[in-house]
Amino acid sequence: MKHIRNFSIIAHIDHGKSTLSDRLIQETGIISDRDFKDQILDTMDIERERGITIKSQTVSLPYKAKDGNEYVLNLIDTPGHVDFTYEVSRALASCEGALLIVDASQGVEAQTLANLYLAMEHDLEIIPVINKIDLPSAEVDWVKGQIDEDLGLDSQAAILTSAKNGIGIVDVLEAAVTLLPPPEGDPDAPLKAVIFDSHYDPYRGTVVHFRVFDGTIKAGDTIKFMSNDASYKVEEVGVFQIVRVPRKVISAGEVGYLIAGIKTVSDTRCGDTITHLRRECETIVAGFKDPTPVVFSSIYPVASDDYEELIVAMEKLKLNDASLIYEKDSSAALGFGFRCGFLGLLHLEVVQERLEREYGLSLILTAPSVQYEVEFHTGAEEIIDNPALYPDPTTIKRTSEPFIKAAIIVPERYMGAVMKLCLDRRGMSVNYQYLTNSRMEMVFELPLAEVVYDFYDKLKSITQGYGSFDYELVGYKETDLVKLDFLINGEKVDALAQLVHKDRSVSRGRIACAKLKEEIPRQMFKVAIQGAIGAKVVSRETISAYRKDVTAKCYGGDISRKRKLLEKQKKGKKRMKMVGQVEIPQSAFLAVLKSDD
Amino acid sequence: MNPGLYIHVPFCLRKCPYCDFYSEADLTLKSAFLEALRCEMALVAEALPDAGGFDTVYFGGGTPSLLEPSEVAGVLDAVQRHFTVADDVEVTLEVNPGTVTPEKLAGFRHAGVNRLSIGVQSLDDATLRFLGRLHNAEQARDVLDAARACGFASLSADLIYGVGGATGQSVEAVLSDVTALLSYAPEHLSCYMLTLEEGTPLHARHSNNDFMMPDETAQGTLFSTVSDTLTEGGYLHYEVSNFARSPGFVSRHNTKYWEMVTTVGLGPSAHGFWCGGGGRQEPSRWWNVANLRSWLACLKEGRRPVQGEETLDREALMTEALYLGLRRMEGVALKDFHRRFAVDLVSVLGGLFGELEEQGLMVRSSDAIRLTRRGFAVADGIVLRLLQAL
Repeated sequence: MKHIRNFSIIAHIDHGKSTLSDRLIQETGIISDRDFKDQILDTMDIERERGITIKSQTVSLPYKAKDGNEYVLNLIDTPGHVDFTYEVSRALASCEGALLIVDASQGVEAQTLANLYLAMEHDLEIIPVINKIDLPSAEVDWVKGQIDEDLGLDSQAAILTSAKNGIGIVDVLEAAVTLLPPPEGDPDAPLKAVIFDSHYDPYRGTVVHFRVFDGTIKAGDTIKFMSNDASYKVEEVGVFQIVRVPRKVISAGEVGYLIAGIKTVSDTRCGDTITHLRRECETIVAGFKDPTPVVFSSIYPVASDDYEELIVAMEKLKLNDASLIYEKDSSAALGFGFRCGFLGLLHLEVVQERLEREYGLSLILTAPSVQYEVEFHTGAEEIIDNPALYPDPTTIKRTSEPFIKAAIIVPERYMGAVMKLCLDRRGMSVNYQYLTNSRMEMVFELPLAEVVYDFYDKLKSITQGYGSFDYELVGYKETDLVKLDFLINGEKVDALAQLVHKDRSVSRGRIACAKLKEEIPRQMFKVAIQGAIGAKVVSRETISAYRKDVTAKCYGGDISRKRKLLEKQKKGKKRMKMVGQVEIPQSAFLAVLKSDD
Repeated sequence: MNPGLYIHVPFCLRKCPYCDFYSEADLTLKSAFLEALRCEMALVAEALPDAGGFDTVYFGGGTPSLLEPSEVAGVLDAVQRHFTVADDVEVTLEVNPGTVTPEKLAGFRHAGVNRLSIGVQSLDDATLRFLGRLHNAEQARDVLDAARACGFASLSADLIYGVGGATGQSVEAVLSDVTALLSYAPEHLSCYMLTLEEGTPLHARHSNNDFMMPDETAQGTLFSTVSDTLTEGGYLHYEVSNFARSPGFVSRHNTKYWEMVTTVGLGPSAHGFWCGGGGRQEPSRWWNVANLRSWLACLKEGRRPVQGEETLDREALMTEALYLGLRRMEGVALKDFHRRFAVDLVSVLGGLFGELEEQGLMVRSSDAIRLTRRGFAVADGIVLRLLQAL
């Protein structure tokens, strides 16, 4: 056990976590250079394209240290987005140490702090790594100052690297060996292991990623998940070395995987404790939570015929994404679909992209909503996350909405812009502090609903990319909510409805109507677009009818050319949704969410 | 129904900048063309022995009026020898002002042409210059007068409207063109809204912002202006772009395309359609190679110069039948459609028909659906909606 090190790499987005992981893997030579591709742990296309990690991955690196001993370094990669904080915390619970990467030119950012706090909660030994030191804009001394002052860590221990160019990689491995503590645990005690991730293998079922604290686990064991008392017979255990490498046994202190005929990923819960059915451990691993979705939206196929395909795709996706929750839903305008809960807007986008890309579906997503608490005059209470189900306002006594505490770190010069953004989003400044002379952390309480749309994009744009953001839910507060309906030629389109704060309803209605006018193509008749609260119309736009589209000449060769064009257009129309007599393109449903203010 | 014969004469003195039909400006191959045309007739007659008696011959182009009357007579003579031809055959020849004299027109008539389609395009010099035509308004008027004078009882005139300029063509300009043309009382009019075809010089100039086209709303207004004016003048708006002074003057040849009757095309780039039956069961379309030299080379080797062919399945036929039918005054005959495709349009699309009727775009009777003149203007969109629901 003293030759094992379990650690994570934590960082703000883009500070080089995946690249550093790549270099560590290459350095230890478990994969040939020929088979290597960048961001090897990011297996999904979306991860590579966006440069973020969504699914965490683990890899066991054999390393012969300068002290002459063979070590096993278990690198537990973690998701790099605020939507997935719980997954990060479970991965950290499986480690004794963490590498905290700070970009040499960007310095400490909000997620750096948030991740550091998470790591500290788990009593991890932290090694600061200053990455991208060879960039012309690198300011190593400045970052060292931040590490000392903002993070309270010892910058003298910081390792200087350029993961991109392979500088300092061996130093990182050596530091892991010398500075991080080996795991502790009793291999003879009853089994106590924590699930920190799982993924679905179409041939083997669910592959559970776990860390053993006490005891051992091997093929043939009957294990039990303590959260739901489900028991399984273990078919295989092993370690990850990019590919799965079976082992006879995984013991206390080690990290590995198990396969036990578990049908779906949802049968396993991140953070759950694994023990033996006949010899249970006494306590569970602390910190287990069910994932809680915070953003809700309905998904519909553009072509109603594709509903059956959507069912299959959702089931398959769910196999690999335990945090995705959904139930059947139907809309007068859009037909059958699913109401889904997501960990955040990124999670929503990832799910949409995967459904469209991996399953070839064309989808419409309705306006994302948070969960509102509605208290009726009768005293009854209800949670509403779907605008279509918002009750008659006269029956409502009180409505509350979820608030977050948002920590935003920006260079001082953007303070005014950030303040304005947050106040525009109904935020309240809680406090602020200077981290250094020129950088500050601003803390706001904001309604979650104001953040789910495009807050992060806006923050990035007003701070020219320098602003960083992290948040946690802090509870519910009373709010003044109205349901904003949209009518197309007098017909209410339930899938466009939004729940918005009363103060913002008229402006949102106006913006959304203008967006719809841009997105809906002209039809053979005049189209009226209205935004309405109850019976009161608050905004209106009109799309005039088109007057002429007919092909002038239609003889000999024109005929088959025209037919082929019609056949092609007919296919194109599959991406349009007919609402009454009006064709609404998929893009219109997204456009109404853009704030443009 | 009798089949129709189309002969593509692939020569022009100069190519007009908006035109995307196939033609060559080099007339040296004219006699080779005429000779090879006879070979093609022989091969086609052999391939389609049961085509039936042709009751239309249409000389299109290109510029067929570049042929001498004797050459036209020779072609018609060959047609008679290779095919069965009905006694009352309609023989149309496209004429471009500037390429004919009154004597030549008389010669065409003598050769057996009984209908002229005159490429007037406009009676306004500025519009003709914009279109890059070789003739001016006076020449166009002269041809119209001469054609009458030498006794043609069936004249058709082509008009192009909706042209571009510093602004798109105005309603007044179009009206004055239409009115000027009406004073010649042609039996038939083809009025085409200018379409910028990709690959043409005019299209390129427009992409380059050289001139403005009328926007789509203005185009809609121009379309109804033309339709209203001619309808009030007693013409039947019998197809999207075609008008006839009486049912007897409807273009017999072009109607074959829209009614999906067999047509045989001869000459480079010509298209043919086989409506089914006979030795070749499946309805099909085929097209000749769109290059005079390749066309000549094929025929020299004794091969038909067919470049491509497609058989039409039920769905393709149905799409064409609906589209072509709705472009016509008669519309789509419901019983006929049901007989051919076993589809009861009213029960499948009745709801949509109701909506279109309400919007004033369609009229339903017990035996047909047809578009109104306003419906004609948006026929493409209407057909697309119907096809989606079908």
